[in-house]
Amino acid sequence: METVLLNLGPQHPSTHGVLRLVVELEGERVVNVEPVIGYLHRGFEKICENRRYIQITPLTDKLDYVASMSNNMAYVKAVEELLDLHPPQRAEFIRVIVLELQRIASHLLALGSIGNDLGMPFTLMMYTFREREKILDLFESLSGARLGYNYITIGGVMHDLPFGFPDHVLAFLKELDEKIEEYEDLIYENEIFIRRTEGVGVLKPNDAINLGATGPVLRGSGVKRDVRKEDPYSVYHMFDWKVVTGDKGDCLSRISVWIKEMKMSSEIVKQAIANLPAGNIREKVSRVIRPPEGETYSRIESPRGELGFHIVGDGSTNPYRLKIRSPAFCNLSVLPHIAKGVLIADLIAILGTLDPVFGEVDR
Amino acid sequence: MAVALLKLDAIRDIVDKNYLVRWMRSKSPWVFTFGLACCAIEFMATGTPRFDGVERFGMLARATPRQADVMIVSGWVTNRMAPVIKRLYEQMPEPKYVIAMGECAISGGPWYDSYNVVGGVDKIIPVDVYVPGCPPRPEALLYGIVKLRRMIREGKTRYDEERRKK
Amino acid sequence: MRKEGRNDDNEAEAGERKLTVDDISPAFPLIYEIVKKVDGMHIQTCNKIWVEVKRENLLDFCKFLKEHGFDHLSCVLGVDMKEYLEVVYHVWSYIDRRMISIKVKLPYDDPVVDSVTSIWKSADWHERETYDMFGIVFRNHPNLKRILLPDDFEGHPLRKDFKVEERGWY
Repeated sequence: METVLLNLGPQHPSTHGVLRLVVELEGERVVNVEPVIGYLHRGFEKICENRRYIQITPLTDKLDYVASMSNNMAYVKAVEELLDLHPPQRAEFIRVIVLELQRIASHLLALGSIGNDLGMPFTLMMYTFREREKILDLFESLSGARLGYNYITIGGVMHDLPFGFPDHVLAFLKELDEKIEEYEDLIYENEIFIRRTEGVGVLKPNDAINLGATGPVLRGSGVKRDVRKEDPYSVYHMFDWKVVTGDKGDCLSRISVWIKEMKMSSEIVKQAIANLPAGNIREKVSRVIRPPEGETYSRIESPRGELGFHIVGDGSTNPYRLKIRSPAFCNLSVLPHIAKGVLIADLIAILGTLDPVFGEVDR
Repeated sequence: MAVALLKLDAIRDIVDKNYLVRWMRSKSPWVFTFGLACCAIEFMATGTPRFDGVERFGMLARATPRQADVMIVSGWVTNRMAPVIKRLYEQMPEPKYVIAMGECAISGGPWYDSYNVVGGVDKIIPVDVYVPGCPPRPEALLYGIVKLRRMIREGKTRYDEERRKK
Repeated sequence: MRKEGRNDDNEAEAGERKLTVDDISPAFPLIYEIVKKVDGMHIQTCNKIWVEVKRENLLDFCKFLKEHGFDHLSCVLGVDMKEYLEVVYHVWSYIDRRMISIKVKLPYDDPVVDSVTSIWKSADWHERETYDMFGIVFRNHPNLKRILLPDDFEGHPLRKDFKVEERGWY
C-alpha cells in the first residue's frame, strides 16, 4: 500500500512545544515516525563555558522550565561534588521539600496537558492548574518568582523558609490529597480517557531499559528504578517511601505513575517538615568559585527522569565543559520505537505521556 | 482587476480610519496559541481561572494562524525557528498584531551570546507591545494585552503606521 | 587520569578519598577483570569508577560490561581537550548500582570511533548529538546526521576553536 508523509509541527497545539514529527502513514496507521528536534537549541553548553559557576544557576532554570528547582539542584550538586562541599542539614531538608513540591507541580502540568491531547480540552487543565498555582504561590513566598527560582544555590539555599511556610505547605498537602482523589475519579472513571490510553503505546521493560528511558516512562513499564533510591543524594535515604510503578507499560500506566508519585511526594514532604532541623541554611562559599581540576558526573531524579550534569573543571572560574544529560531528550528518543503501527491519534497520546519539555530536549 | 484592487484599497483606508471599526477590533483580538518556551507556561497560566486573562478581554485562543489576530511570541527565537515564525506571521490575516513576551523575545535575554539565537523577534517581524520579565508574571501580560487593545482603538499599532505610509 | 589538586584539604579527608582496587573488590569482584582490560583507572567514590580504553578495544569492553549487568547507558558526551578529543560513556548497572565511565581519546585529525548502538540502543541520539557538536564520527551508526542544528550549519560549535559570531538574520 502507498504511504503518505505527514508533517506535524513545528507549530502544532499537541506537540507540547516546538517539535516536528515526520510521520509516514499507511491509511491511518503510523509506519514510521521521525522526530525532528532542535527548534529551541540555543547552545546552552557553549554559553556555560563563558559564564562563572554562580552565573550558571539561574540559567539552569530555563532548561526544564516547569521544574526549575530540579535543574538547580542537579547543577548545584555537581558543583558541590567538584568542590567537595557538604551543605548543612537544614538546607538539605529544605531542598527535599522544594524538590518534591516541584515534582508535584510538574506532574500536575503534565496531567493537565494530557487532557488537552486526548480531546478533553481544558477540563483537566483547569483543575490541575488550580493546585499548581498554589504551589507557585508557596515558591513565590520562598524566592520571589513564579518560574525560574534560582533558589537552590551552591552551598545551600538562598533564603530561609518564611514565617509560617511549613504550616502553609501542610495545609496545601491536606487539600491536595483530597483533590488527587478528584483527579482519579476524573481519569479512571472516564470511559473516553481509558479507551484512549489503555493498551496504547506499550513499552516493554527490557526495551525501556535498553532504550535509555528513565523516570515515569521507565517506571510505567514496571521497572522499579529511581535515582533517589539507587544512588541516594541529599537526605532521601532518611525518609520512608517507596518507588511507585505502573504495571502494563502503556499510556495509562505512565499516567497512573504520575498520580501515585504525587501522593508519594506528598508523603516525603510531610516527613521532611516533621523532622526539619534548625540551624544554618548555607555553607560559606567564596564569591568567586574556583573548583579544582577534575571532573564529575552527578545525577538526580527530576520529574522527567534522570537528570545528569557532567562538569569538567580546569581550575578556573568557568567550567571547561558542561554537559547535560536531559531526561526528556532520552525519553523522546523512545518515541519512534513504540509508535510503530499505532493510529495517528494514539501517537499524540503517546507523545503526551512521554512528557517532553523542549527547553530541555534542545538545550 | 487593477481598478478593483484600487477600490479595495480605498475601502480599506476608509475602514481603518473609522474609529468604530477600530473600537470593534479592539474588543475581540483572537490570539494565536503558539508556545515557544518558559513564557508559554505563564501564558497558559494566564488563561486559567485564577487570572482569566484571555477570554475576559474577548480573546479566543485559536490553534491556527489563519483565524488569529494577535501573535504572542513567548520565548527565544532560534535561527532554525525564525523562518517558521516569519511564515506563521505571514499566514495571519491582516490586521495583525504581535506581542513579544519575555526578555528572550525582546532582545535575546540570557542567550545574547549564543550562536543560534536571534537577538529579539523584532528583527524578523514587527512588534507592537513588549512585555518585559523573565518570565513576565501573568499580570504583566494582562497589562500588555490591555495596552495592545488601547493601541488598536487609538490606531497606534504597527499595522496602522504601515497603512498611513501608503 | 587527573589527580585531585586541592591545597586546603586536611590529611584525613585526602587519605579517605584515595580508593584502590582492593577497597571495592569485596563488593565488586568484577573490578579485577576490568583492570586487566583497561589502560587507566581512577576510582572517585565506591560506585563511581573512571576507566580509560583504547578506541580499538571499546566495542569489546562495552560488550563485556553489558554481559555483566551494565544495562543502562546514561550518557555519551564529547570533550575537546585541545590536543585531542575525548568521548565519555557513562554506564550504570541497575543490579550492582555502580557507574563506570569509559573514556576514549581520539586524535584531532581522525575523530572516528565505533558506535555502541548495537549494544545499547539509547546511544543513538547521544551519538548523533556528539557528532553534531564535535564532529566525532561514529562508525556503523544507523543514522548519523545532525540532530540539534540544521543540516546546513557550518562547523561544530562545542569545539574550542569555534568562534561565536554574528550571523545574518532573516
